[in-house]
Amino acid sequence: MTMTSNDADDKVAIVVSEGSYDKAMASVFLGSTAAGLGMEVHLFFTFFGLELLKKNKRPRLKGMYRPFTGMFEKKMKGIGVESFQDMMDTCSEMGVRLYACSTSMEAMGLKKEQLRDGVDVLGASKFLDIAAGSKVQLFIG
Amino acid sequence: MLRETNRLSAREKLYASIYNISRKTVIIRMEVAKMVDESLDCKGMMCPMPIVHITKKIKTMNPGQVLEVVADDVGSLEDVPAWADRTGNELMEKREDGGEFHFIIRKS
Repeated sequence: MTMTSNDADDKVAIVVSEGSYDKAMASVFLGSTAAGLGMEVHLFFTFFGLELLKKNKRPRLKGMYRPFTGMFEKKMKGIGVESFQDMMDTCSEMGVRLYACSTSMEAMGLKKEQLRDGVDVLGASKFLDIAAGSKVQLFIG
Repeated sequence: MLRETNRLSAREKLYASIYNISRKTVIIRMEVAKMVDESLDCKGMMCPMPIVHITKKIKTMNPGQVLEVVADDVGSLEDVPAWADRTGNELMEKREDGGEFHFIIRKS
């Protein structure tokens, strides 16, 4: 079973720099799927993406679509997709590593206590170190 | 291993006539059905939920056990084999049946 593979080739590093619903879902989808494929997944949240790490955060669609977030969530539920918070829990359960950007935390005035459990605070260099050893690097923003 | 095709039971004959498939196929499917330890219904789920649920389910199973998955997301037709390939689990069967996709996976 290669489910918990630590092979460098099987690493995925994803940067999430936006906190809107679509970007949020794209990150948890890719994160959970990659973890499901037996890859080691590292999600790095920066700038507005950091909002997604807040406890009980419910991301909204962007701009003029914002009022339709509820409708969209309902539709997603209809096709078996869990809510964002449930997907985050699923990700953690599957071993996806979550990181908060330390600079963004300062800039956004966020404390570690405000973030969900299991989040590590990192700087850009450490993340780039992880990304350099990953075969797949993605930027969602 | 497989029984003679002309010695099908009434139930198997009925199955063959309903689904318009050869009797040999019926026997193979019934043999496979006997091996299944767990089954997972992923109907109505879209990517990536079937993969997420399969991963969770397979974690609870023992090596050698067989999981049957039914899904109706067209994406799963390629996703499940790719998942099996990457995780090293054996995809024993993949078939389409009236818009539904059946997968038989053996945990390695």
